[in-house]
This record gives sequence, C-alpha cells and structure tokens, in this order.
Amino acid sequence: MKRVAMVLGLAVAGAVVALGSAFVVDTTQYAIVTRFGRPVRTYRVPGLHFRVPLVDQVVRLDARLLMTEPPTAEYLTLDKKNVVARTFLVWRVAEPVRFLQSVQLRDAAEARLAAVTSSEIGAALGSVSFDALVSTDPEKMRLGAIVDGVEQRVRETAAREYGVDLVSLRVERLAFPQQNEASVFQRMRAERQRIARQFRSEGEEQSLRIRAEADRERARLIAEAERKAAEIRGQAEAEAARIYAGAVAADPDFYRFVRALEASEKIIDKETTVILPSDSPLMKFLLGGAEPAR
Amino acid sequence: MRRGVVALVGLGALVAYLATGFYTVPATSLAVTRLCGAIVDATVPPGVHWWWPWPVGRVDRAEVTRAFTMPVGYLAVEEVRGIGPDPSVARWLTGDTNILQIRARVNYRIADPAKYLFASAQPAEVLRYVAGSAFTEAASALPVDDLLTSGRLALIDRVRARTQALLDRWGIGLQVLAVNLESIEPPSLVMGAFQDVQNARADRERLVSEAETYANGLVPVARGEAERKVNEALTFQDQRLNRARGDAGRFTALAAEHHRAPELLEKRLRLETAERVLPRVRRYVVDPGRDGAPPIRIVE
Repeated sequence: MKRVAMVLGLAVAGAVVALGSAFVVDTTQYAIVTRFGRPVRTYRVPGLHFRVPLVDQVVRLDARLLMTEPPTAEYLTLDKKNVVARTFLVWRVAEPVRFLQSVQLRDAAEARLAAVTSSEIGAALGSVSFDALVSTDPEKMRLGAIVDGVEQRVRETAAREYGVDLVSLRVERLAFPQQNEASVFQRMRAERQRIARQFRSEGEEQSLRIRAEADRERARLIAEAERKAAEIRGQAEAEAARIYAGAVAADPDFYRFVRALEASEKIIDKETTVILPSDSPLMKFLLGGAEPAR
Repeated sequence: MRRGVVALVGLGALVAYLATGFYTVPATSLAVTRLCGAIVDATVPPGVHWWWPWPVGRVDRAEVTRAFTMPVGYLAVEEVRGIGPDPSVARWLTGDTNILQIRARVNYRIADPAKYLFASAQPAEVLRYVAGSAFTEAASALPVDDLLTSGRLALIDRVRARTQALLDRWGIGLQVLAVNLESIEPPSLVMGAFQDVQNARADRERLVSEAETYANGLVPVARGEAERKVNEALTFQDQRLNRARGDAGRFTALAAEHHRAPELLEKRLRLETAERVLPRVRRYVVDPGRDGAPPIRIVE
C-alpha cells in the first residue's frame, strides 16, 4: 500500500515537472528563456521546448511582420515649403534578446521607431526642394530615392539599437498643411481659368483661320474661273476673226459691199424716214417700166 | 476491479478527447494545421479531417476563394456609419501640385493561407497602406490633367503592380485581383473651375465646327460658281464660232456666186435689202423740181 502511494506520488510529481518544464513556441512567436531575469536561451524555431521549472521564465515576442504608423507630421523642405508626410513602417523583431533588453514592449518599440523616422524624414525633406517630392519632371522627381535613403538610415538605427529588422518604410501620403490649402485651391482655380481662356481663344483662332481660308479659297476659285472664262472668250474672238478673215480673203471687195448692205439694213429702222425721188431707179422701174439701174 | 474501472474511465476520456480532433474545411477554404506551434500542413483541402486537438494541435482556416475588398481613400468604418469622411483621407498631391480626391477599392484574395495567417499581424491593413503609398508615388509624378483623363488606366496599373510587388516581397500572402478607381476628381471647392475647362474645351470644338460648317457651305458653292463662269464662256465660244462659221460659209457661198455673175448678184442683194428695209420705214416719194432743186426744204 505504501509502495503504491509512493509510485503514485512520484508519477504525479513527474507529471507536474514535465508540464511545468515543457513549453510551446508558436510559429508566430519567438521565445526567450530567462533565468533570474537574465536571458539564457532564444527559441526561434516553433515546437515543443523545455526549461527548468520555477527557475526559468519564458518571455514571448511577436515574430510576425508588424506595421506601425508614426504620427503624421509637418515638415519643411529646403525651399521653405510646408509638407505633411504620413509614413508607415513594416518591421519585425530580428534579435529578440536585443529587442527585449532595449525596448521590451511593442508599444515602446513603435514609439522609438516613430521618433527615429520623424527625425530622419525631417532631415531628408529639409535637404531637398519641394519639386523633388512632387514633380512631373522625371529628372527632378526623387521621391523614391529620398524614401529609400530614409529607410536605409532608419533600418541601420533600428537594427543596431533595438534589434529590429525594418522591412520597409514608405510614404503613405504627401499633403499640404490645412492652412495652406486655401492658397493651393486659389492657385488651382487660377490655373484652370488660364487653361479655359486658352481653349476659348484657341477656338476663336482656329475658327477665324478656317473661315479666312475658306474665303480665300472661294476668291481664288472665282478669280481662276474668271481668268479661264476671259481666255476662252478671247480665244473665241480670235478664232472667229480668223474664220472671218479666211472667208473675206477670197473676195475683199465683195465683202465690203455685203457689209455695207448689212450695215445700211441695220442703220435704217422704224424711226427712219426715206424720201424717194420719183426719178430714182426704183421708182422709175415701178412707175415707168424701165429697169432700175444700178 | 477498481483498477479496471480507472483504466476504462481513463481510456474513455482519452477517446473523447481525441474525438474532438475531427474538423471540417468548407469548400471555400483551405486549412493550416499546427502541432506544438509548428506548421505541419499549410494546404488542407475542403472536407472532413482529423487533427490533434487543442492544446497539442491547432487548425486555422482561410477563405481562399472569396474576393475581399479594401477601400482606399476612405475608411470602411466611415462608410458603414455613413459619416462624412475626413476630406484629407481622400486627397492626393499630383505632380503639378494640384490636389485630387481619389477613392478606390482594392479587391484581393488570400493567395497563401500560411503567410496570410501567420506572417504578419494585420495583412489587410498592410495592403491598405501599401496601396495608399502606391497612389502617392504614382500621383506625385503625373500632372492633374493626365490623372483626370488618359492617365487613369496607367495609374491603376502602376498601383496594382506596385502593391502586388511589395506584398510579394514582404510575404504577406495576399494577391491583388483588381484596383477599382471609384472616383478621381478635384475637390469640391475647385470643381467649378475644372468644369469650366471642360466647357471651354467644348466651346473650342463648337467654334471650330461652326467655322468648318461655314467653310463647307462656302467653298462648294464657289466651286459651282466658278464652273458656271467657265461654262458661260464656253457657251459664248460655241456661239461665237458657230456664228463666225455660219457667216463665213454664207459669204463664201455668195462670193462664189458673185464670181460667176457679179452684176446680177449685187443688183439682187441691193433689191433684197431694199425690200427688207423699206416696208418698215416712213416713205415719201416726191417729184424732183424742174431746176433739179429739192422739192422740200429741211428745216433744222
């Protein structure tokens, strides 16, 4: 009976020791075993691990990627323009022991990282002009390089001081401070008015040009037609004259005779009064049988 | 006897404990199993499975077929509560230092359940911030007119590509399906000025089209008029030449006749002319005076 009780007691004690010494490290965690507050072992690999019960404490740290947004702050560029930059950090604990010794908690780490980021961003933005951040000119635009530079410097500090691996530092937003917005809107409006005016005067210009071209084209077409018509008329007259001359050449005297007859026929009209002497050849012929002489 | 009962109870408890290890994975999901905190199977397919129960084992599911949405430019909370959003949340700077309001939705899905579940603390929030920074990078290099018109597609493409690249580099386990630009517009305070530019552009087109209408009406008419003038001249040419030929032909015929009998022809022509002329005139036939003086006196 005594032996049974002893075996049972040993078994229970064994179970308590086993449960107390075993601990699980999750895939999302790091574990640091501390003995009397001093870190003795770090576990980065997930699984079942053991410690000395009662003496060793297990401290767990988040091993996942963490995101921190430092407070949005206003900065001054080299050319004295105010700009609001909102940044965010993606980071993870790289050296659990150093992290534990320097900052201990995530909140503290975030505050430190935010402070470092703010001062680095301030330094970087203070050394470039505004159009290096915001520009349509690819030669001037250096936002990517500036952010990469800040990221690099914060990364070095974070690794050295806090055992943090800064995976990335990005600028989420750039903006003008609230009190500058009114003047920005003013400028935008003025710019739009200028563009609108330009469109309208371009319209006027193109309209006038098209109309003038049409008028000129019309004048050109008419003038050309008139020239052509005059040429045709002239040629016709010349040709007609040639035809007449050709015919007349056969008998110029007879032509003069015919023309004289024709002319007299035209000259004498209704208003003409003809006085014929009774001894004129025509009348003689009509009255006295004699043949009218020439 | 007593030992047997204890063993039976113990065995029953063990069986009951192990039976709680059965779990189902819905058709829309994949499951990840962990044993003592370490990942064992990262892609357990839909169906009924068994895994070590808590606290030894853990099972987590991730909906891999579902498309999730993350708003950018406004907060989901504001959208749900219907609160007017803080304007600065939607405002981005353009390359020519204009301010634009952009609202977009990023559609994404869980591409890698293990990474999604365990690699980062807030994968969806990371996506939102990354998309925001991608918009900043793209917008701060483009002029406002591009962003409002032809540059939209390029903007979306760049944001999508950039967001995906960073998510992949950091191993967040999310896949961007699409970036939908819901609105990109000037802030309401300057909206009127932007609309006036649209109106001005329309005015320009209207003026040009009016002028073109004028030109299209004018030139063909002028062409017709020119054609008419030339045709008139051609008609004149026809008539002139025909008359000339007719006249010449008649004269040539007469001349031939004249050649044969000049006296006779000339007399005939004179008479014919007189016949045509005399009927239409006033005629007086008078006797000549004996001394040959004219019988009438013309008083002027």
